Amino acid sequence: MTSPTRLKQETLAALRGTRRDMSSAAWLSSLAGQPPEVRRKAAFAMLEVEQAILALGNGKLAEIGASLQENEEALRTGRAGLIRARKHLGRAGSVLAATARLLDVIARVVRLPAGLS
Amino acid sequence: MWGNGHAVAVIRWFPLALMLGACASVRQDTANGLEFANAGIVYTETVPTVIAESFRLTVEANSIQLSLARDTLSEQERSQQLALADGQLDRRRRLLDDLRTHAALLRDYFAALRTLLDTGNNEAIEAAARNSLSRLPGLQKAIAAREIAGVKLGGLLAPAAAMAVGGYRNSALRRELAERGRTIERELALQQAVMKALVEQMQDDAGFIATVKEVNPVYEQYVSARKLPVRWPDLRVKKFAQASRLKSLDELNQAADRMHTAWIAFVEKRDIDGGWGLFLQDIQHLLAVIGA
Repeated sequence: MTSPTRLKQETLAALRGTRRDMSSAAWLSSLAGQPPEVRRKAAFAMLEVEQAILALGNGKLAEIGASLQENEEALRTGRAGLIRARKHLGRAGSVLAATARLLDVIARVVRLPAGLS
Repeated sequence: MWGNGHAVAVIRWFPLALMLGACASVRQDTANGLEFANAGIVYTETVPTVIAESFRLTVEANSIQLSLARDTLSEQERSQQLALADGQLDRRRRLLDDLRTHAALLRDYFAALRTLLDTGNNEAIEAAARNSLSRLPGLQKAIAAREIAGVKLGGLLAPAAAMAVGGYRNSALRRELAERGRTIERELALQQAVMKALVEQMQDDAGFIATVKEVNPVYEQYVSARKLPVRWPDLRVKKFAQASRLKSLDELNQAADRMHTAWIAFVEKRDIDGGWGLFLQDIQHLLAVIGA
């Protein structure tokens, strides 16, 4: 079983990479041709990723350690899916779906604000 | 071969030579101690600048995120997102305030150590012990129980170093190190852990900010601009230079590591790599890295 510290660091690393990708010119230009609803969804996803980074960063392992370990497999699958999706930033729908899947798992570990989308 | 006259001279002057040698050793102990106290003061005075820069980067990164999303949000959604982010940033600020207090208390200690060595008067260091050091263990526990950049600070603390006070001839210094050498070693280990976590977070936030401010314009101007600006090659050079700037933040980590290992060497009366002068230079360089 992976330690809570490691699980948390790996999850944060995936979220940070996603944050950077979602502000990149390649991502923003891929959204330019998308319908407004997709662009709105992308904006919310970016904010939810930021909230998850701050919430996980401020969270205490004493409080979330057990929950991280209970969700280890789902976190691993979610991270792997997101890493795969981020290799193709032009496919906005896949990236957003993979981000949402990981955020769903993270929401079982730390309290995230309800999605706006 | 020496005659009796020589032997008498040696016997007469030997105690004086020993005494002079001992005085020189005390002076050397005092000089080394003063150098370390000065290095400690400079280091601990640098920490608040690093902390302030860390928080500034976090707020700037968060503000960029909110700005990028603003156009797609209703007024109610903007208000909600701003309040959520402010709440998280406020929690981060409170943790950083504790770290700043920790560095200030350590600074008081090093200033008192300098007074002890300067004047031989131990009143200042006793007062520092009463006022500052007595607060450190409680504060250390509070900080170590928290986390920053996803890392539990207590979990990063290096195991307690086995320390034996070296053969100092300056008796006041020897007593002081025997009494509080271990306490200060633990506090410097905590500083080391804090710096490691802060640097990781600063590198990430600075990288994100650079993507938006420096990397994206290079892409957008080349791909989408009607006419490529004359300054485009300069912007491109700047884009690659930012990667080196992020890497240079690692020097903050190294300075904290050196401060900790140098204290152990000082207590045990061992030399440190490159000497104290080089150590002070490293710390001055650290200020340049964060642009203070």
